[in-house]
Amino acid sequence: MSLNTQMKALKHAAEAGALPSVVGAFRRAEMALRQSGILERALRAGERMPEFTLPDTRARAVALARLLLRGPVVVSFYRGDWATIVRWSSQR
Amino acid sequence: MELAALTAIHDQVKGLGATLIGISPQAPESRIRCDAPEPPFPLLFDAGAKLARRCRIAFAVSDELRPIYTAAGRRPLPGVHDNWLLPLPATYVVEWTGEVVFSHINTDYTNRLEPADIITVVAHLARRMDRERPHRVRRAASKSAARGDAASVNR
Repeated sequence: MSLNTQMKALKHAAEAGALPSVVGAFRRAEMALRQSGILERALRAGERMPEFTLPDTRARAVALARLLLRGPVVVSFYRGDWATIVRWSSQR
Repeated sequence: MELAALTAIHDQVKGLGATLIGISPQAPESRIRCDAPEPPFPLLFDAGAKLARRCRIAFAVSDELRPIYTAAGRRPLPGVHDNWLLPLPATYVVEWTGEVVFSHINTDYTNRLEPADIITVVAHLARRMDRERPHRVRRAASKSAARGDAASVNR
């Protein structure tokens, strides 16, 4: 099963058990985000990735420029580990 | 779940000479699932979502959602101003020049780039780099082979 199929299934299961007010809050937030124009402004293919040096979980500095010496870099932005349980913890 | 999906393709991505990294504004100290296995690729801490802002993918959590996130265990670092900024679910593939050659950005966290598509893009880049910069590829390949030897000796 694809990643998105799994995530959609989780989302639907969670929504079925969640308070309608919580489900509504998520829907409104996503709608507002979509309408804010953020997708049109976001960094996209064809542009340069900003240079960065950030700490890993053991506080070691990781620099993009250094990783690029080895080859392509796949950068995945995510919210945090609490995000995956948000919908579950807000069930009635 | 996205991290688990990335973990599943990590070896393949590495084998193609590429690096995977995850970036989040969540401080390592604020992680809830400390028992969860650490993925085999770097998870970087983007304090205050500064890099996300530079990538123009940062947004503030709505007032309505803030108490829900707090109830789910979201904790800012003590003594640090909580700007409630989060990144959009975004995946970028950056080639050696620093140029983004592939981007997948959404407002819905259940819509992410499929891991199989990441492999396709990275495999394409590996083939291209092989043509354009054969010396670099050979060097990288021999280096990773050396690392592999060392790892098997240790085992």
